[in-house]
Amino acid sequence: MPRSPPSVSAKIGGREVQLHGYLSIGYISSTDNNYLRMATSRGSAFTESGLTVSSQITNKFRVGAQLYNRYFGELGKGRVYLDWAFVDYRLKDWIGFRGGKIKTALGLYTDTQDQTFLHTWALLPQSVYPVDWRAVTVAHVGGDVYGTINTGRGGSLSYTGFAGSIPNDPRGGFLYGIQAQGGRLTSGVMGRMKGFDLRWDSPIAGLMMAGSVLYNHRSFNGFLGPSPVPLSYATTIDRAMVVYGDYTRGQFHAAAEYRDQTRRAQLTAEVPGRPVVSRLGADEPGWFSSAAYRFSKRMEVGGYYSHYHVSAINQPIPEKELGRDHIFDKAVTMRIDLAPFWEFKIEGHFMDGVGASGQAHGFYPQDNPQGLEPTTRMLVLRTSWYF
Amino acid sequence: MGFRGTLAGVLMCVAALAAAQPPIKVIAHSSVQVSHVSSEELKGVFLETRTSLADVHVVPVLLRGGVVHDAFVRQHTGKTTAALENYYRSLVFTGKGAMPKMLASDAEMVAYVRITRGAIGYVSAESSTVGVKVLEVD
Repeated sequence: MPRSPPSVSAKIGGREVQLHGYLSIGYISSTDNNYLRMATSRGSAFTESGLTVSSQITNKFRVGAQLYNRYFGELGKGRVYLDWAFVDYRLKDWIGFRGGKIKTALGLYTDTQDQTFLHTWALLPQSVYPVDWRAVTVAHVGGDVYGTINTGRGGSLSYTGFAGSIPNDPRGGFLYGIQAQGGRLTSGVMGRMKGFDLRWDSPIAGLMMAGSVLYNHRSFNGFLGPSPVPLSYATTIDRAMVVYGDYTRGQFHAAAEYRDQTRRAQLTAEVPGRPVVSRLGADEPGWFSSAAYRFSKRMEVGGYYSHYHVSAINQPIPEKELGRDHIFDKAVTMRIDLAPFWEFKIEGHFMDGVGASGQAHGFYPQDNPQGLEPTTRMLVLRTSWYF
Repeated sequence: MGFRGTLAGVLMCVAALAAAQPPIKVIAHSSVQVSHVSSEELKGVFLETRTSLADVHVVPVLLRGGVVHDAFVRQHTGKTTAALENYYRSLVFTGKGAMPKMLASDAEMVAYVRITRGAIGYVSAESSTVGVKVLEVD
């Protein structure tokens, strides 16, 4: 059975224009705790889709854009986003430039986290790739410098340096996390980022090792609870350091990533003539390791362990419930390729802990007014079509 | 069977598997200036990280399936065919590359490479390669 993807293209003005897309539909059922801003304890469906158009204008110059839509309960809420749209000029193989709204190269899956059909898993390890944070991590509006340097017998090095602004998302976890702590915004969240990603495709067949670093700055204005005193929030340190690797041998695939996230911020109560400053933040180390084996063209089985820990500093609302400083998730998955360009996954999750309420990692007080149980078991079914 | 016997058996199996690889010719449009290409260069071309050979722009062309396709992908990209498909899709959906041209047969491959400037593809060693350049892989 030939499995190669079809080429969906047309000639427009003498140039080839490629069109690709995907649609993913899923269902989550969990024990008592509601997850990812959905009523998963009663069973919830979600969808995700994208449509991409691109064209190689000249040998060195290409353009493209993607529309994206998701409905994970309150996350996304079905809004259609311009997910990326950029121009790309590859001067040489070792140096090229992109400008526009660009997918961010950070860690293994930041730029492909939406394309579930590229991965074994129905949900990526949420310690490192939380669905909640997707909109503020997946892309930046700015520029990239990138390239690949072949080192001969030493393999090849691919790098991407990037800088730009962080898209604001009124339907994302960052905002819901602020609301979970009693915050009300009077402005959008202003953010900018810069970072660097370096990947080494080693001379050992199938082995890739890499590292990334990311610096963000975010700020917003608003109120806390019923207080009439306006507040301003600005990060002083917002950094992620990432190391990751990927290994494939035959039908076996393993991957691991460690991400150390540090955030410090200044919260200023704008009392006329006497501003009151408090400092808050969080340390959030997260990592996962995964392994999968493809038993046949149609079936792949795998599992991962995802480890997330949070140490919150001076939170406006102190945490009282058990499991509020971590989420440890064990997942097992079976992926079935029903036909070329159509796959189905069934995945079980066994989660210990619920994370801090303000850190937007799946469990929100808004959806769990009765309080949260310290453990969660969850079944995820997901199917995707793509071309 | 002792350790030596087991080792000999394993080596024979490996040799038999290697011998079972179908012979493949790497072909290119006449505009491609080189007559030799290294495995690393070929891998770069087919992973779209290398866009030129000797300053001539090149584009990969693939077969849609079959034993020649499977063998070429395994030997020269270090990936399985499924992993290579995923790799191309990841380029497409991040905007960082295009889906390469995929053709159904050796005859179509030769015909396409013959008329497409910079095209590099592969066919079974038995196929006619009239009108295209055959590259040696170092």
